[in-house]
Amino acid sequence: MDGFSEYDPEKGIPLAIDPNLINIPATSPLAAADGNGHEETNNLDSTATPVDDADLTKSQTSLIQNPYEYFGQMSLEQFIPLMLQQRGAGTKFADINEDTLLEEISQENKAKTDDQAQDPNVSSDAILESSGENLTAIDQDIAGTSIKDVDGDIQMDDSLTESHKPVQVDESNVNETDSELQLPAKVEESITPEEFVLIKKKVLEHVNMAVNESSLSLEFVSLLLSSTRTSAGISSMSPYLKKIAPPSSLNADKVSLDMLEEHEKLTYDIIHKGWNLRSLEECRKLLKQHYLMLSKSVETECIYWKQILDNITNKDVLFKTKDRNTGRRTLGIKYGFDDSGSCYSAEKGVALLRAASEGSQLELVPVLDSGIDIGINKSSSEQFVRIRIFTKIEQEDDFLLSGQSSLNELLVSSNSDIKSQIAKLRFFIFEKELMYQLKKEAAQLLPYGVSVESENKVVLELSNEKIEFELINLDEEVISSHQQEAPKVNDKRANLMLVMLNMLLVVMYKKQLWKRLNPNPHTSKSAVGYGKDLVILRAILGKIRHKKYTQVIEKIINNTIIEKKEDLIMTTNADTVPTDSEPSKNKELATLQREIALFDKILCMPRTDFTTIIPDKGKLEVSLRSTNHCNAVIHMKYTDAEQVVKFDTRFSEFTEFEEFLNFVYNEFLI
Amino acid sequence: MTDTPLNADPLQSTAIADFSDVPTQALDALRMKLSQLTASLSKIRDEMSRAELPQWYTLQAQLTVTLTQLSSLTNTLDHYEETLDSTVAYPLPSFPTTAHEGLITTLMRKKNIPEVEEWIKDAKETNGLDIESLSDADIKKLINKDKDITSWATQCLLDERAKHSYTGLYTKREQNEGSIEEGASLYTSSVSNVKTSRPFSVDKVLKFVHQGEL
Repeated sequence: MDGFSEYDPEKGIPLAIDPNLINIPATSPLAAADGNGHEETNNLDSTATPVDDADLTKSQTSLIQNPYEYFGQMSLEQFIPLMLQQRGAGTKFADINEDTLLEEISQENKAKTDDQAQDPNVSSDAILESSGENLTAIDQDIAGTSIKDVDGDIQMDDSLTESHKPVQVDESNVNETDSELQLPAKVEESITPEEFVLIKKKVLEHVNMAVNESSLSLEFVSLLLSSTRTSAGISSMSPYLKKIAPPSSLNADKVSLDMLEEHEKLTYDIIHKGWNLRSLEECRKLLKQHYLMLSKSVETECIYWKQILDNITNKDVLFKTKDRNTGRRTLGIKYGFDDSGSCYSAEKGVALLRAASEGSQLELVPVLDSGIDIGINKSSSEQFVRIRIFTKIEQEDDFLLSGQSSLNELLVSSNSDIKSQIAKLRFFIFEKELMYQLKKEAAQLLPYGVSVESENKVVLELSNEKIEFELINLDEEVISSHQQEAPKVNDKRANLMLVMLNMLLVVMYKKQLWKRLNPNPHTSKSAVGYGKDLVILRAILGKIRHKKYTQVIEKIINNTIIEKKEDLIMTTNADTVPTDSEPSKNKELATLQREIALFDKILCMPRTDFTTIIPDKGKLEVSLRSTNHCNAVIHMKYTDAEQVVKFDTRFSEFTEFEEFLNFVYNEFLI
Repeated sequence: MTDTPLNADPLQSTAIADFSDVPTQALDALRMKLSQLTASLSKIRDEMSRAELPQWYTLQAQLTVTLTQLSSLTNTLDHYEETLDSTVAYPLPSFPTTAHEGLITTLMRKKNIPEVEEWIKDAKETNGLDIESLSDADIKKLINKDKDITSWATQCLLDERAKHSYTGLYTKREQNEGSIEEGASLYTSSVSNVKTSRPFSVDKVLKFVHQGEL
């Protein structure tokens, strides 16, 4: 057991065989190791199983140091079954090859290094030697020059003893290239703080040594110089030396110079060469490491930018930013619409284009940071607006679902590349803003049958139907139920309504953009939002209500006048007041203006004119207008045959209007 | 050359030493180099001892300075090699030898510190020469050959180095071929000292591109 007694816990002896093999308690088998191999195996079998973890690791560390003398004594017939048993059931000896063993050894080494690093009692040398290969390039920068690399020694010795020609070094180094190509994996690994502190300590020791030597030399030279140039010498002496040694207390004499012997000269040359070779080797390693690191990072960057190029078009807004999680600089993409005129501030609409840590795949990470809580459920960011139309069942006080807007294709697609991710983010933020604006508008429309049922639902109640605008979370259930839904009568209407809402929000954006480009000095700048311009829900509700009002008025006029007299013709003229503004001279502004004007017909207050000409009795003009899209204001003008305006009044009640019309008929038209 | 100190001890003044053999010029030159080196080494030490390490590039710059000073010191030593080699220093009676024996021995020490001995040993072991079995003449031949190879390799390296451009966006070949005439004005490397004037800020340009107004 001599070998075992030589074991030095301070020095990690390089492993030569798979440490997993030695998964057995060290003490008992080792004590019995003098006996023949067969007994041992039996012994092992009995003790192998009931070891707890702590014992296991202990035994491993003590055994690892000296694997040969014990296992080396076994014959293969004993060794192989033992090995298979230690590797667990089902292992075939044929499956164990060099590569897997090497991998396991390196893992074991690593684990051991970590263990040692955590143990403060272990001397720094041991750690530096065992972790020498794990050092990152940076540490090599700091410590590389001073750390003694065991591997370096071996390589050099090997290559040089083969042949005494220095050129051979290069050749053998070339042969090493393959093995060193595995370096980057190790280089990438960062060292633990403990290791770093140790390395730093080591560097500091060397620096201290250098400072010592340098200042000692300085003291000596200064003291000697003080004999001939007192002031100069004294000026660079340390206070301590000044106190003790008086100036000019050293002298020097010239002696005849012995010429160096040839052999001594040669010794210097030899040392010179040794140092040169050593530095060359270190430099080569450093260069190689950095070359590998650089190529890797070039590759990573290349992949990153290629992905950017593939996924980003010139319509996207990119900007430089900093990743708060990693502290790295990266690119951000703006998917929100505030450049297009949106005033939505509940979400920033910004995402980071982050390269995944492996450098291979690009990630899109939305920045969720908003100071203002608008009340929209932020837990799920994947929400979209769905419109449902319910029709009242006659004779019953119940509603039946008669139409539902369909799912956007974007949501159904399983495409998950960055491009479609961006598109989805855009879609969701737009939908959320749409809901937000709908709710805002609904608050003003309470008198007209609009109610906000929940934070994500606005309901519009009409006489015989109910329209629901709801922001719902996108999940598998929603998708599948949408796909299974049978088509209904009002599906198309719901879809058109949704499209209209979307388009109207875009018009709102454009109006806002227009405002930004043409700042009105009279409006305060602090006003955020669309204010009175916000017409989305109103446009639709207004149209529906206006149609109803028109029918009522037609009915009233019919009842009061037309049916009582013959040959009367009423002409109706649905007219909207065109907002004619001068086209802008600026080309872009003109385009914007034109695009907004396309929606004038929808956004203007609805108005319908009814003209009834009564032969010989003049003309009755009724005009149905609105002041807020949803209410009804009736203008009535009666002109008699002599072109004299008899009445020109306004009503907001239909009953009043009807009564008045009856009065007019009785007074003037009979 | 003799310069008797004014405040010399009366006891010693009876035997004024002859300082004519002190190599003043060499010593002064060395003193300067050494004090520079000591100063920058101490600076490195101070920076390294702090709890928070300085930026790596600061350290590297400091190290480069130190290495330059070290090489300058070695050059000076080399230059005065003969003078210094033939000079033997010794303490005069005015040095309190008995009271501070340790100091004087430390100051006059010629032996290398253990670390240096270790390095020398290491160099002897790793030089790739079989010193035991080879004759001096053979070793000399090998070393000369090695020197030749070294100078050849240095030349090679320099040649190769000259073939590449290490700054900017273009390779040396592209630069030589002059195929980047118009491109060169588009991008100047950050190393360039030329300050470009900027009529437009990036933000302004982007604003113009986006909104059509300045």
